[in-house]
Amino acid sequence: MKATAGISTAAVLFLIGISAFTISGDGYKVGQKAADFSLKNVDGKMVSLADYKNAKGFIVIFTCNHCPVAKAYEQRIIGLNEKFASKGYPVIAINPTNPDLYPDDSFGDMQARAKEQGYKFPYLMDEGQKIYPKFGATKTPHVFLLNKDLEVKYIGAIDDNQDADAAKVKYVENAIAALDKGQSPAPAETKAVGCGIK
Amino acid sequence: MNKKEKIRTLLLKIVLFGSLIIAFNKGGSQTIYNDFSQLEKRFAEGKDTLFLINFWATWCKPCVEELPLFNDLNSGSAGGEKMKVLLVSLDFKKDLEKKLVPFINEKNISKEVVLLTDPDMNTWIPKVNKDWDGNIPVTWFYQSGKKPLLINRALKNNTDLQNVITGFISNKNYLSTP
Repeated sequence: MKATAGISTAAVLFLIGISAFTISGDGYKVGQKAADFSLKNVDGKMVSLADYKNAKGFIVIFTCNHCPVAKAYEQRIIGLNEKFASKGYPVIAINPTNPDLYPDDSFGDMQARAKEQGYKFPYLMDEGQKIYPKFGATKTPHVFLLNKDLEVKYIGAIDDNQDADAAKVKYVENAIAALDKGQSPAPAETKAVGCGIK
Repeated sequence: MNKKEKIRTLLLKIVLFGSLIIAFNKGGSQTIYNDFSQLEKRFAEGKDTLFLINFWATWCKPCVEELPLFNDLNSGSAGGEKMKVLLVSLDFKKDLEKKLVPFINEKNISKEVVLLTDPDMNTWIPKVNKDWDGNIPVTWFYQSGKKPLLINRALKNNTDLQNVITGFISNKNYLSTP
């Protein structure tokens, strides 16, 4: 094992300088308004954001059954709903995966997972994969925090470490706190490794 | 524990640790980077080398399907350029011995595998490309003095991969948006 250490500042600056090439995809950007949707929940009922009359915002999370990163974050997703649903910010989980490619993400498996883990939030199937491209979700887990007018206020990761015990900055919690004070979340966007949506 | 037992324990530890290194090096050379800067240092040391970096993980199905394409690349694929293929695994650190090493051995991966465990993803991901969300697989081309190229999809076959390599070398990033 090679254990090279030390930061090559010049190389870092050089990289930042020349990585201007963009591959920007479609999908909502921070500040844009999301369109409401109607998707089937694991209880068989259709769910729309408009159903939540008293919500102050929404923690929309694209997640799924099969992805190990999503699994690593599952308890934190449950925790977010426990902490914030009563404060007006419910978790809305959407599974964007094509179950033909990933049998673990079938509607039946989603129902089983939600029951086993005791989800107290909707776990919706993006049937026909129509909603995730509108958001511009690229991976699971991928969070979009919306305000009550469905304006996108934050896009990215739940926190700064896949290992829950090692996480230092809770991005989503901080973003909700900012939103609740009428401020813009900072950072408004974060990046983390996840399973590409197929 | 008496002195003799202590020595025995120490020797046992050395043997166990040694075997881990050997196992992880079977087939090709493998490396663990716990900081992204170590990858950047490789670039600096490589001078004019063309680096082809595939970000993957054993848990990522499309990555695993795509991996043989990179493993089978030969030195002629980059024309006259000196090319280094780095298979940068984003597996969980805890899965190194349980999943990554057995996978490398089972699939006869001969290209260098780097396990990147830098947890500060929000810092290092934008250094690769500011528009990359962290979804995998992606393939990244880096060569000193050139604009890096990120292919934000799985490569379909040898022809597809060869076209992407040739495109980067000839500076025609035809797959990119303007």
